[in-house]
Amino acid sequence: MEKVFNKGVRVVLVSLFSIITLLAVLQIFTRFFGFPMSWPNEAMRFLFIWFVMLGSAYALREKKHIVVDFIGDSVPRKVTRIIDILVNVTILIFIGILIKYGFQVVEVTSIQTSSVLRISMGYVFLSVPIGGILMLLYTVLNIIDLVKEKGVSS
Amino acid sequence: ACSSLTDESSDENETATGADSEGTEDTAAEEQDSGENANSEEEEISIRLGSHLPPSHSVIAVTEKFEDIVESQSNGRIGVNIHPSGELGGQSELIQSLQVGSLEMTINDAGVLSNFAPKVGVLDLPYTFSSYEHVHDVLDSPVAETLEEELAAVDIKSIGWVDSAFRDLLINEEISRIKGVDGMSLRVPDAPQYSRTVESWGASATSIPWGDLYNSLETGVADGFEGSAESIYSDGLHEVVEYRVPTEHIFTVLSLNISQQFYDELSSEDQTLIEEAGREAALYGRELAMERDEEYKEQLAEEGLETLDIDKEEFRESAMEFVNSYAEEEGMTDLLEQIAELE
Amino acid sequence: MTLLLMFGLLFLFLVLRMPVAFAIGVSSIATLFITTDVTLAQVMPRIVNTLNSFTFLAIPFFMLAGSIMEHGGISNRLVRFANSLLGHIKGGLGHATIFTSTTFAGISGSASADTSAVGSVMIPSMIRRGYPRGYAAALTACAGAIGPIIPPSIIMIIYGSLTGLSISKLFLAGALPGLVMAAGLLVINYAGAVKHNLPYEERATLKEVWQSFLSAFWALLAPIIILGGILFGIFTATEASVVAVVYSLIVSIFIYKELKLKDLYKVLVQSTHTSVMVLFIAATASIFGWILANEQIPLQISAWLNDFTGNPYLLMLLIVIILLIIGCVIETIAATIIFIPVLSVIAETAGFDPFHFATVVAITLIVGGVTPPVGVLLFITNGIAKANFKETLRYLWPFFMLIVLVIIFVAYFPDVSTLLPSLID
Ligand code: NA
Ligand code: NA
Repeated sequence: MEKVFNKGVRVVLVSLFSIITLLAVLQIFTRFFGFPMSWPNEAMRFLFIWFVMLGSAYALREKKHIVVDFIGDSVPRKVTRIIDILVNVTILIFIGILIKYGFQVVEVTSIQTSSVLRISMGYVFLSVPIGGILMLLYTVLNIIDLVKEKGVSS
Repeated sequence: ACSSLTDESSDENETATGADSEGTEDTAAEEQDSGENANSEEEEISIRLGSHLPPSHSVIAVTEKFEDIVESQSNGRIGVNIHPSGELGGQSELIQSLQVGSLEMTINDAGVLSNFAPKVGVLDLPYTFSSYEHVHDVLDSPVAETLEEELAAVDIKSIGWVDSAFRDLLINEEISRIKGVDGMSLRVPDAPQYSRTVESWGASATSIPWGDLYNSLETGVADGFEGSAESIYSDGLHEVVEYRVPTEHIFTVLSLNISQQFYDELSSEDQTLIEEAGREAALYGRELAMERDEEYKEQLAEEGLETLDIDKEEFRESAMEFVNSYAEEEGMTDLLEQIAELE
Repeated sequence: MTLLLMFGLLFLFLVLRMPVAFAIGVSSIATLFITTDVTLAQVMPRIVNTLNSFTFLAIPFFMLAGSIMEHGGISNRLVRFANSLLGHIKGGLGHATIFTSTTFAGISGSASADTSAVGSVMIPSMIRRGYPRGYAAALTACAGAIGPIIPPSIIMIIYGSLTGLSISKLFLAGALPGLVMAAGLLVINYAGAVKHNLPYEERATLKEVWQSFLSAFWALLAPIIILGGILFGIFTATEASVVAVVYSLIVSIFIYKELKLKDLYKVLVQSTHTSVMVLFIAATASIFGWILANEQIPLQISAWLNDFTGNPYLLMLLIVIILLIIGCVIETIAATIIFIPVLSVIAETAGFDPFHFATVVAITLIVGGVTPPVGVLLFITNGIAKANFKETLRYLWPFFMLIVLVIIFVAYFPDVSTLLPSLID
């Protein structure tokens, strides 16, 4: 179940990355040949913001964010497991704030239009609460894993 | 709509900090004197004013004037802290902060404000204004009031319209007629009124970050760009272009804004004080803008930037078709007519 | 007060092993909540507006280019060529590591990309030939630090976007100092090889050198295209990153024929991870930086430093020392975003050339990647080498001393950094 879902997220991320790259190539290509276009620039920036927000959520589950481990070797796993749970709960609060205020800002920015594509900036800012919801989901899964871990040493 | 964030001189910044700490001491003393009698009107108020422009910019001088007036009129009770150089965010971000009430004041280009209140974009259309006098007549007319209402509808309260300057075309090739611009690749800010203006002249618009412009011009990635004398001079761009074409196509107007939420919380005396200070600073800015623009143009000429003798009318006529259709699309034909009548 | 609280919380969460990006975000929001009446709604626009940048787009593209090179046979060929060229000198594999890292640096913008690409090939070979694990780890981490000093460079991209300085010029400012550092590392490696009696390889015949050169030709051409393109103004920094992607794709798929469509998917996923990891740090660190600016802390620090000394030489030394200490505990990208606004105010006041100053600051912060306890590059190489961290540190210090020497050299001989940027003036 989770595997299928994650695969879906990966496909979305890879598609976003590929589209951004193609738009960038298109923009440079058209500039080189003397008929520059300005819409790809804005389009790729907006997709890029979505890419980073969703990607950061996915990286939480894949444990790809940089972690500084001063204490790992010197403290027993029992203790680090409890610390990890507490840290993840703190992250959960941060994500909650991200979602709550993220939606608030979507409301404020929905009246703002982008300067080239003339779309509502609300669609761009929506990446924060939506990315936040995905982060919430993955952090809860991380916490469940930690709680279940009982006695298992890794 | 574009400005580089180079050029930070901290002297002026420090003045701002100094004035702020003075204000705090004054209030502390006052509070001790008046003891429990201190009512809410005597409360110390601190205003943060955000701008994307560097401290050396003439528009920042206007905000400093505003700071002086407010602080002296309130005997230091109301303090103003200017945050230049995009310290608190770029233009759009500053406006968003203002709207949610997390920043008290900003100063913004009409062009950027038009993303929030589309009709304000009329100020940023090419050839809306014919002269400085025309600009001032419009900013003192009911047109300005209409635009202020548009801004108020999105929680942005404008308390003063501040002049910047007319923008010209800067290129590397000597031309005598508009035909010469044909096929050039010109750098413009990311906004349709700019790209469509240069496209109406037969050039193609390209968007390059302001910071990369110097290098792009020198190496021919771009054939030219458009901007005001001040922005050209302060970033040394006259070293990499040869000719100034006085197209005077767009006049940059800025609005000194206060957060509606913050404004509503002020006592009516303070509201009046701040509004009047805004108006006074804006008037001061009109003189200053004209003087500075002259000075920068002289400097540019001294350093070898040649001004071409062209017929501005040709450029205006070419742009009119797009201006009219754009004004219609955005429902600002009425406003444009009112502005034209004030000429 | 704000400063102490915010950094205190940051260290606390870092020690508790919270991911760096989140530790920065959590400590910022908590500080905002405790000390100011600024609403939290302020923070959300900050994240989006920081990322809404054409310049930052260069980051995933340079990451992608690096990943394509690693999986498309480009880095392998660079290693083979470096070995045939330098392998016969005492400590030959070490020299080859430095050479490969330096060449790879001309394509990759990130120290961790450079370190993992080169390290994954070179560290196992060094260990097989009897190099102490810690030595291989320490050397490769320091060689990897050259990655973002020689252009292209993610640190310089961020520096430029925060200060408005031309990114192309910032790139060029790092080129010579990067080469000086590479040369210095070769010397230290030679001395280390003599001291630890490290092996050397059989001398490659001229024909072998020529063959490995031919095989690596397209790989060696990449930095020339990217740097040349920037130097001659054919494209901007972000465009250069896209050119790097397209070029490495063409070479890997059509010339070396080592990259399949299936690999491409894997490469995209991998570079998604490496880039969002950096970019989310950039996003949350911008909140941290905003709070500092809001409290006018950059001005206070600048005023304090000015009071402390009016002598620019001393000031430069002081800044280098402070940044080396900061670099020990704060990750490079985060430190850049948090401290550049502070430092650029100081540089302006003291009258340093902005490109010279940027180069000194950038190198010093990058070196934070190899200083304990928080040294991301050391973590990477130590992981590959499966070395004992304490042993790695023992081998690290001669290399580290050399790097400090290079920083001092760059700090007091501004021409090293200002020469190339002045050529495009
Ligand atoms: Na590099
Ligand atoms: Na470190």
